[in-house]
Amino acid sequence: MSTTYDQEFVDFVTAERPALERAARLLTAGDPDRAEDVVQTALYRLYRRWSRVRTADHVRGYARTTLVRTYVDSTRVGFWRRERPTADLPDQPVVDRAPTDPDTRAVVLGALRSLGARQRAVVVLRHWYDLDVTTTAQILGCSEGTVKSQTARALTHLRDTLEPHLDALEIH
Amino acid sequence: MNTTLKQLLEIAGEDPAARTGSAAHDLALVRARLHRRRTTIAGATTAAVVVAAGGAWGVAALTSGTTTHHPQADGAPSPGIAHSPTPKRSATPRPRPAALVDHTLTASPYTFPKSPKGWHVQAVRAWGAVIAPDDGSTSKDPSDFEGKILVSASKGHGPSGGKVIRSHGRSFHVTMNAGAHMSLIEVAPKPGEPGDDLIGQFPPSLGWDARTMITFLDAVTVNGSAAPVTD
Repeated sequence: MSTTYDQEFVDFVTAERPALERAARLLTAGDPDRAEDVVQTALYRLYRRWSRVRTADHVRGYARTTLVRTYVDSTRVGFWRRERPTADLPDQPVVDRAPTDPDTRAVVLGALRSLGARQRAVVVLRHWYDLDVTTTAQILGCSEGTVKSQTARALTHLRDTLEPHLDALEIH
Repeated sequence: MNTTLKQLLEIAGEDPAARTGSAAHDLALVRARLHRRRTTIAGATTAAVVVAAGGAWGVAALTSGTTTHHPQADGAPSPGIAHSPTPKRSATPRPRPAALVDHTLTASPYTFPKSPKGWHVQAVRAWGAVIAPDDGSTSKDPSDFEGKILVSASKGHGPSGGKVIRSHGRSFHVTMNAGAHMSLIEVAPKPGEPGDDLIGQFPPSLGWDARTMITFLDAVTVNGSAAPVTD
């Protein structure tokens, strides 16, 4: 490695890439190519700003914000095909097994796929990252009211979609 | 058994089949992408460089960069020759920093009222210009910037990162040794100039300290025909 600058970046990627990948999978509803593209573009943006990122108080938060904004940007400019919400999910078995079953993953990703892009981002930020409404609004560049309404719609949709496949589901 | 949405998302986020590449590979990719981003000047033709009338080489260099100490951004070492990797195509290491002189290089839409002595504008596009040494130590390919100065205009994001150094009322964001082969300085365009970020990329072989790079970049003017790229 040629510089400390680069070594620090490598250390960061080593530690944080798996988490970024997981978030990207959720944001892209399991599209592996698109998820990798989002991660790569986010890493590129982080590297470009690494001199600032490396000294940030919350590097992980900075990376999270960059990842989500990269995803949102991608939906705006149409780097990839725009996804069309689908009313009908593919047939899936009723899940009554431990939540490590790959069927569960397929069901959840299918449900996420049926959300709009920004609704999906809201779900990931609010319910996977456990961020509050204010922080979510800041990351997405929208009002808190928008976050609340998007969250409510998304959760209603997820509940309706997922409940038939699960024994019991708590979605708040 | 009750399942929460959080648990479901954690399951969905996992992919047993996925293989995470090495971080070193990621670094190589982002650097290559940055390299392309900074150097994609494909199709550029050699600039019709107009040396301003009366723009004789200044007698006195504005700075030597060798004996004057200036604070380096991020605590990084000076981009002096002893600390920096030598560009691949440098035939010989430069024995001393290139003098920054009052010699105007014009490559519309960019004008460089101050320039390194013995350097010329190699290529220009609406979004940026490449300045290379006259001695042939760097590639003739204008898409290859190693050992060269690249000044580019971008939009979408203002200057950020690095150490902020104020000069002449402007805030310069200085990142010495940003990656292996360059130092970066970003500054907001002057009033009325296009874009959100004017970026100067400087090779270590230039031997300039931060203050010299700032002096160079501060003097650059960009007219309305420039087309900043989206960052």
